[in-house]
Amino acid sequence: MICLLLVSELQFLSCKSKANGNENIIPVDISLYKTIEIPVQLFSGTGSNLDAEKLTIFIGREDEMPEGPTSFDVMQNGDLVICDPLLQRVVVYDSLGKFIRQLELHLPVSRIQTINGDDFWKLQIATSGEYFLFDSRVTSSSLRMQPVQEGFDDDENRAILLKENKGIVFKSSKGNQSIDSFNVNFGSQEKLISIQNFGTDQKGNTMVALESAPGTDSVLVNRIIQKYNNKNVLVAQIRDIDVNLFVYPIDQFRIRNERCFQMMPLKDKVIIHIWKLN
Amino acid sequence: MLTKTLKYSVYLCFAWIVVPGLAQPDPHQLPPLTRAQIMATAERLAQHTWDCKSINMVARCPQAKPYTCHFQLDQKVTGIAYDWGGNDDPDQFDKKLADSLAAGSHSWHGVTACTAGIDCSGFVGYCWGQKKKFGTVNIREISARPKYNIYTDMKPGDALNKEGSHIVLFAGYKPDGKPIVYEAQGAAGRVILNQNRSWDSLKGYKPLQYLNVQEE
Repeated sequence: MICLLLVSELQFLSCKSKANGNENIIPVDISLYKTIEIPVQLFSGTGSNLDAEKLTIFIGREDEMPEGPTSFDVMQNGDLVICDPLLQRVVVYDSLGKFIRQLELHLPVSRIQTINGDDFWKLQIATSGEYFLFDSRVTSSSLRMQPVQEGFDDDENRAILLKENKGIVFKSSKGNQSIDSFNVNFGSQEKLISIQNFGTDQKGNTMVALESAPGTDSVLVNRIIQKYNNKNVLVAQIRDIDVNLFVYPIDQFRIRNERCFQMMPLKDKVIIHIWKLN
Repeated sequence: MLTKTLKYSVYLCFAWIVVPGLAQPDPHQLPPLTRAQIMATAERLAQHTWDCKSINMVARCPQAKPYTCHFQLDQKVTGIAYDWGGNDDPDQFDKKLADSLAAGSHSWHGVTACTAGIDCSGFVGYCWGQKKKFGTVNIREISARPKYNIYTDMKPGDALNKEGSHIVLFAGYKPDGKPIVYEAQGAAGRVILNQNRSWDSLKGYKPLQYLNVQEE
């Protein structure tokens, strides 16, 4: 057995064991790398007198869900773009969580995705479901939004949940017609209840998000994010994922720049958790 | 859309035990509904189209806070507007819009007599054939708690409820295992078919089944 245990670099290494000529890789746990905190303010029905640098949360009253940031993405330079639908805007923060600017769209944007090297953002409007392509280079006074038909990449079902804690993940790259797939075997006492494919990077690594449940009579969920290498072998996973959010965004996770980002809107702040995947 | 939804549904014919709620009427006094009827009603409210006119962007009664409409002028909207405390069916909704009531509201506006639409529990109650407005607590009067596996055995027309917060109508499972739901959602400002929910966004929700559902 060859076991590499360099504690300081544990998150990047896999323990390899050979038994009967077969190589098994024991996935390593990726630990939290960094946390960013962005302040929030409570929305009470009017956008006036609110601080542009803070994100906005609505607590909700009886029989009403809380609302808040619904989606985010990460630019190539590490800046964060976050949908703040209560104030009908998109807010940009730097990689430390410092406010940079806001774009007042006067529409409740519920989802955002950066494309083509950050210059364009695909947006979805909550109250219509329509998609727009937004040129982020223009200023707010001369917005340029073009309606588009195509939705978000991750709307496509690229993974299938099977019985007995198993699933299938389909790999394909744009322009490549061939589709590869691999199996996911969730070896846990908990029940595997959903599987989501975050996509395959240029190195062939595929990130997969799993939801599992300890019981089955009310909704209680744990999350795991797994990294499969270019040979479709599970090599690493994130297990210390906090699932206690105040507002559940549509896009809670993003895999960008070989890092996994989680946006967690709480009552008093929005936390961005970051794990390094390389 | 309904066909697509049902296609994703898992129909497992497990027998289950239901735990009645409190102060329930005789189930036979409630209107009998098949699951297909419940889903057809949900689809009708989610697909109801209407135009937001300028007269529907102003609330003409005292508000707790200044009224701000969810929608754009002359927007063609699909889905009855979310209206906290509201319980309008499509006909009532259209009539109220024609009578110059405002389209939808949140709780921050205060309960208003001059807005039109439906809220989450009103929506589920209406899909279950009720004219009376129910909330997420007393909707137990017309429903029971099925004892089944939420992640595999729910059927279209059942609901997932978090008392005091929100309720959604279950429509089916996606191939990746996630739920598909219909809901009157404040963030969307209307009734929608939501295929973007993860299970963790429904943390703490419990299943409910309409008391007089007719299994086909």
